[in-house]
Amino acid sequence: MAELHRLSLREAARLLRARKVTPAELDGELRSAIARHDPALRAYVRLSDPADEPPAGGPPPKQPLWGLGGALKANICARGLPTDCASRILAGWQPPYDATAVTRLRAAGAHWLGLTNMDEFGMGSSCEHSAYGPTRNPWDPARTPGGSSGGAAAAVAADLAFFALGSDTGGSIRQPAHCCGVVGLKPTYGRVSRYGLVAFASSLDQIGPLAKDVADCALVYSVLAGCDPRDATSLDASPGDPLAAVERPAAGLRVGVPRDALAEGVHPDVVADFESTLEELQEAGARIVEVTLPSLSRAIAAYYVVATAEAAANLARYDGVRYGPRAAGRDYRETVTATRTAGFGLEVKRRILLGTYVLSAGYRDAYYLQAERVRGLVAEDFARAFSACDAVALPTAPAAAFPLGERLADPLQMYLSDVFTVPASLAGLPALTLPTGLDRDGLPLSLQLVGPALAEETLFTLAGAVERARNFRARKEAAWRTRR
Amino acid sequence: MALDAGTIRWLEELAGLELAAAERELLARDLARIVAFVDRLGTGDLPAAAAVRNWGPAEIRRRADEPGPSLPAETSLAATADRAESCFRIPPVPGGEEAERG
Repeated sequence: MAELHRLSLREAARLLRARKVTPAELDGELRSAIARHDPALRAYVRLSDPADEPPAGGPPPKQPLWGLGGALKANICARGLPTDCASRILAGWQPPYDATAVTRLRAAGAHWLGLTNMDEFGMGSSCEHSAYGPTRNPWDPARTPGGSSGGAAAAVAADLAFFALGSDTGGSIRQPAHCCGVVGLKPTYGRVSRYGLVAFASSLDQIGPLAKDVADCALVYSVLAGCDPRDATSLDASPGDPLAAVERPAAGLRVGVPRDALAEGVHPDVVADFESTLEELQEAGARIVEVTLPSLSRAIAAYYVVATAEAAANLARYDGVRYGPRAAGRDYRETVTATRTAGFGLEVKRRILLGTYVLSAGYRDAYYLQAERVRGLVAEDFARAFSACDAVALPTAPAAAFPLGERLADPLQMYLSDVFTVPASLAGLPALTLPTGLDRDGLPLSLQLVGPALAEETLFTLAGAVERARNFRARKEAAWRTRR
Repeated sequence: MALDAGTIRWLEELAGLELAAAERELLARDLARIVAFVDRLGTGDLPAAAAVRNWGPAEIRRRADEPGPSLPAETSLAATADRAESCFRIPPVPGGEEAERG
């Protein structure tokens, strides 16, 4: 039998149901792998106590995730785990309730191995802006795992969890999935409840799964998706049958490609991998059609205005009164300022100041309203494209995972890592990233598929076809065999 | 408005932050570059003509609020740094009740 922690989620589930392994054995194997490998990676910031978070017991029931251990990004509330968003300002904070996503997965039989590292409050693309220090990329420890769900992606890639939950505001599931060679889905805005997700930018934030393959991702998503009266933006729409969608043929589906978006600043290895993946989609029966997304060039600017404006408002609640430690001050104002100054890291301060600036008197029209207009135009561009295709294909990032420290001194360069992921976020559309190949340095590359609202099933069908054609798992096993 | 140190100080005041001098200098430089980049929102032909449009799935906007009970006071207060009976206790507010009494 293969090492148990290296199994996919569904392979492990099959062994559990066949009673060839128990949940406790599986959990023990995962925790032992974490103990061996995580000190070098630092994907986890806190492990759960098996006594508080035991794997399921009893005979195998029909719950789809029975006995399976997952990893949880440190901004998703779970009772018993300190949800500190990798920030000093929430140090030691224990959420008094479970996020709906956590509740749904627990009800499906899953348990949590621990909390994963992230850029503070989700603000970053490298997992370096964390009060805990950086997580390293399991493919190359000198590189970032991407961000902000970098710990989640690294844990799944290194076989230290069968799946993980992340959150995506402008690409925070998809970009780390790209960097670490795993599958990540940002669902349609409203598909998955945000109740219990610590807010960064409320009109953009979504919880989604990271998994070892497309079917595992579909399985976790099928449990996560659903209406929640606790989230006023939650959609009452059936997710359909995502697992069945993975097996459906892609024949006849039309994939739109905005080639003008690939014109500059994209690494040639990314372009080559993207084009060869499209050829294989074509061989699987999909039709490739040209589309244009003219507002894409303004999307990053619009995103960093909208997201920072919402962040400045959302993070105003951290005043040392309701949560976390309080710094000393002579009066209320001094106390609030001292608490926030000591509690927030540099990147969070940078974004709060930018958000405050774009909302301030005299600048709101020039920046915030202008950005909302661009947001509407990005959504219109996609709507126009979807009249000619069923999904749009884009790279996830302009290049493979970059070296640790490379972009810390240049925040604008860091923000541009998100150039291909923010458009779907601004438009509230579902987007899935799956690994497709390796670059010249042996680092993973990926394809991003963006669909119309609520069209996750279409994305799973196309992603299933790409995965069967590219067989990334075999490439990864061959690449990693030489490293072990 | 240029994003000089004075502007950063004004933003700090609004945002409840107080940066060290070196941090202020660094962020002034970074923010000036970032704002120059987002200024591209105002270039070209689109912004004046484009209205603010709805962007999300239409179903979201049809939802009515569904109020539910809040957390019990004891639960909400469990994580506070300071409390008095069933309330959060905050430091004195200049010009507030205590100052008036004093």
